[in-house]
Amino acid sequence: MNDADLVRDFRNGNREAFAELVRRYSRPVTMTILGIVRDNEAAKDISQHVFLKAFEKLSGFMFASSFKTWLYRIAINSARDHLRRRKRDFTVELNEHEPEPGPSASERLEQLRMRSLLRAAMEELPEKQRLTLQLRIYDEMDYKEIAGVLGGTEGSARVNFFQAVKTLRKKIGGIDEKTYVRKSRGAAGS
Amino acid sequence: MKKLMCARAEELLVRDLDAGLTDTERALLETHLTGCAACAELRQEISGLIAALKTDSPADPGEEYWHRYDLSLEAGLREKEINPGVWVLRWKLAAAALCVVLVVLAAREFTGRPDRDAQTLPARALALVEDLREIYGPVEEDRYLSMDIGNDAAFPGDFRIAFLNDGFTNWFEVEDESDNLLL
Ligand SMILES: [Zn+2]
Repeated sequence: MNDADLVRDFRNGNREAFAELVRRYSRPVTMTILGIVRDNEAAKDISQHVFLKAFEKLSGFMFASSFKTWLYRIAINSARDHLRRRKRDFTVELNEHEPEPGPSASERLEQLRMRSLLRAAMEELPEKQRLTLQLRIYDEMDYKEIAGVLGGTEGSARVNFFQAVKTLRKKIGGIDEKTYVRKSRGAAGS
Repeated sequence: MKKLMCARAEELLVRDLDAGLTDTERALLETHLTGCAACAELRQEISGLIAALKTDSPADPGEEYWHRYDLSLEAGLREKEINPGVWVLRWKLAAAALCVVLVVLAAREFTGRPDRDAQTLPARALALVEDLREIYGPVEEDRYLSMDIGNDAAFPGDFRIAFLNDGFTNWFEVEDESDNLLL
C-alpha cells in the first residue's frame, strides 16, 4: 500500500494506517532532524512533534505534494525553529560514528579534527545550501525531492548543492578520498 | 579557452557525483582531465569532500533510543486521540462544581454563623481589620501590632523600632508592617 492510500485510509478512520506511516518514516525523519540539530534528545522531541502535527493536520492534507515531502517540510521547519531558539553545537564527540574501521590514533584524531572543520564550514553556508547538502548527502534525496521539501526548483537545488560543495572546498581545501583527512598541500582555513 | 574548459569541467565534476553525465559530457570531461592536472586534482578533492561529509552523517542512536521514541510517540498520539468533546464536558462539569462551592461559601458568609470566632479567620483578613482600625480610629488593644514589634525588634534599623521610640506611626507604616507580619 502506498503512502497516499494510507493517508486516505487514515482519513477514513483507520488508525492503523497512521501507525504504518509512522513505521515508514519515524526513523528517517528523526535521522534527518538529527543531522540538522546534532542532539539526540532534541531530535526525538522535534520528530515526535512532527508526527503529532501530521496526525492533527492530515485531515486537511490536499495531496499538493507527496506525503513524504509534506512530512519532511514540517520536519525541516521544526528543526529550523529549534535552531533559531538554540545555537547549534557542532563540536564532534569522540564516541560519534566511526568513519573507518581501525584507523590509527593519530589518523582518528585527524579525522575528528576534519569533521569539526567541516561542520564549522557548513555552519557558515547559507541555510538553503547547507540544508540542500545535508538532504543530498545524509538523506540521499534527489534534487526533485529536495526542491519539494525546501521549495524552489530542481535546478535551483542542484545549483545550491554545487555552490555548497564549491564553498566547502575553498574553505577546507583538499580531503583525501580514502583517509578523509586533509591533504597537507593546499590546506586552507585551519 | 582553457579557463572556460576548467569551469565547465568543474560543473561536470559536481554533477557526476550524483546525477551522472551523458556520454558526450563524460567524454568531454575525461578528455579535459587527462590534459589538466588542476582539474584532475579537483576531482579527487571533491570526491574526498563528499566522502568526508558522508562519514559525518549522524550515527544511529541505537535500539534503546528508538524504543523510548516509539513509547512516547504512542502516548502522545493516544492523548491526541481522546475526543476533544470529552474535555469540554469535563471542563463544564468542573465549572459547575466550582459555582456550587462558591454559592455555598457566600451563603455561609451572609447568614453569620453564631460560633464564628475571629481567631479562626484567615490572617490576611485580620490585617485588613487592623488597617481599618488605623485609618478610622485610635489604636486599641493592639495585640497583633505589639506582638509584631516584639518579634521584629531584633532587626536593627527596622522602622517599627522607630515607631516605638517616637510614638509616631502612619498609614503606610502600618500597611508595611502587616505585610511583614503575615508573609
Ligand atoms: Zn582544467
